[in-house]
Amino acid sequence: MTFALAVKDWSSSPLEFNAPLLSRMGVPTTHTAGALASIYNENRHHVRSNGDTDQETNVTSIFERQSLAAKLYAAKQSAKQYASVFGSRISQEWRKNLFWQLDELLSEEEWDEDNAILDLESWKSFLTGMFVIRPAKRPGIGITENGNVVASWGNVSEHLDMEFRPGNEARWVLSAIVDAQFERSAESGSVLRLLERLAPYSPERWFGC
Amino acid sequence: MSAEFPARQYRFPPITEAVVEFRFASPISRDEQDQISSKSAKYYPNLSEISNRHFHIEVDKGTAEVTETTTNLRRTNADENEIFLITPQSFNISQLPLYEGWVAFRQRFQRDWEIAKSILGYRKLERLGIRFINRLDFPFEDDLVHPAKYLNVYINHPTQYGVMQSSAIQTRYFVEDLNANMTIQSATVESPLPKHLGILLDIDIGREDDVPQKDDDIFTYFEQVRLFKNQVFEASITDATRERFSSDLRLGS
Repeated sequence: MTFALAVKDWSSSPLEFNAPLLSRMGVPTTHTAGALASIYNENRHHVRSNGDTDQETNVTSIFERQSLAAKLYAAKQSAKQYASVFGSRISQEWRKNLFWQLDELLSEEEWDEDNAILDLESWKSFLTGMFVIRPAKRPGIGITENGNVVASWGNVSEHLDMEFRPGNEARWVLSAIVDAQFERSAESGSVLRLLERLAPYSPERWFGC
Repeated sequence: MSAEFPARQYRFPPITEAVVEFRFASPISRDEQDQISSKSAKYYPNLSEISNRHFHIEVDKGTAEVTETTTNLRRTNADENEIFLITPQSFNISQLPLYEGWVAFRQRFQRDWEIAKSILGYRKLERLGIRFINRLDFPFEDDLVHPAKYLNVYINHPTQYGVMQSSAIQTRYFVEDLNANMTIQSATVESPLPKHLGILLDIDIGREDDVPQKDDDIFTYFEQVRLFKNQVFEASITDATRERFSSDLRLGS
């Protein structure tokens, strides 16, 4: 039994796997709108269904062998491409600021090689969280040593630091003056319920909305 | 169609990707690909090389050999939302959000066409294509989204089937006025917005017969395609969808 198999080298970006699926339909695209995750998964399955399970291992090992600069570039590229699935719902001003912060955080000069690269799943949770909160004030963002996004609002006495974990989970630490009392709190929960969970602390103090 | 469905301009269009394709009748050499790539680097500083390898596998013998390797050069701007894909047969100019309107997009692909032409000289075009992928996000109402409320393109099915979990349709047409084929696809996809369903509306128009070859004819043709594409889009959606384009579900103003 013989058959032909077309394989795309994944070393530049995992999202490149999107292209072959839709290119059969006419004008080839370089991106797939809101279907990034599902089409990516379909293509992984497609590789498996052709009977070569080792292919995925090879692809992963190519990715892991990349230099630090290439890994940082790939992380920035994936994060920016994922942001584009929100379309025009992210204003130019927000987009510029987020991308500028990403470029700064993931610059080779600033990066500690022991840290994990930005986790795309955490970035997705972060953006989902932003659409749940829709803050008027843009957060400062950072990356934890395990690759999760941290968003911060406020000042020294009243601050909110929120770590976004994969799967729309978040953990947050806050300090606020409530009824003339200084309160601190550390909690975790679903990103989708952030506003309800933060309501007792009048979160407009941080978000400006 | 134009009188019934006038094209409109939206401040926040739902376009998730706009692509223009120039496909040539004869191949672009690797050297020519590299020259076009270098000349466009000032607009697209990032470069990825994508190797396409074709394998011939003989399962019974346990052997595999590479029968063909081609390379696509993918150049992007710093924000990763402007893409210039140079393949051995074509080049594609793609705009991801923010889509800042047809005029800005046309200026970009005219500029890139000039760059390619300065390297390739005259090269016969085999296909001209335009593709616009829109994703419309609709809120769940009692855990359901009713496509008929928002779209004129959807699957009608007997209620006995139960609640549809997902759908995908593809229809093809020949557009006489453009001498082109049009493919419309619509599918449910995950929306990145909480408690929303995404529905793709993908309009792909390509001409492979009597393809315009002169610059003026090419860009006049693209203008015609764009007007038709807009009318198709308007015909595909309802007023309930138009109202959602001014929705306040945004980050920033």
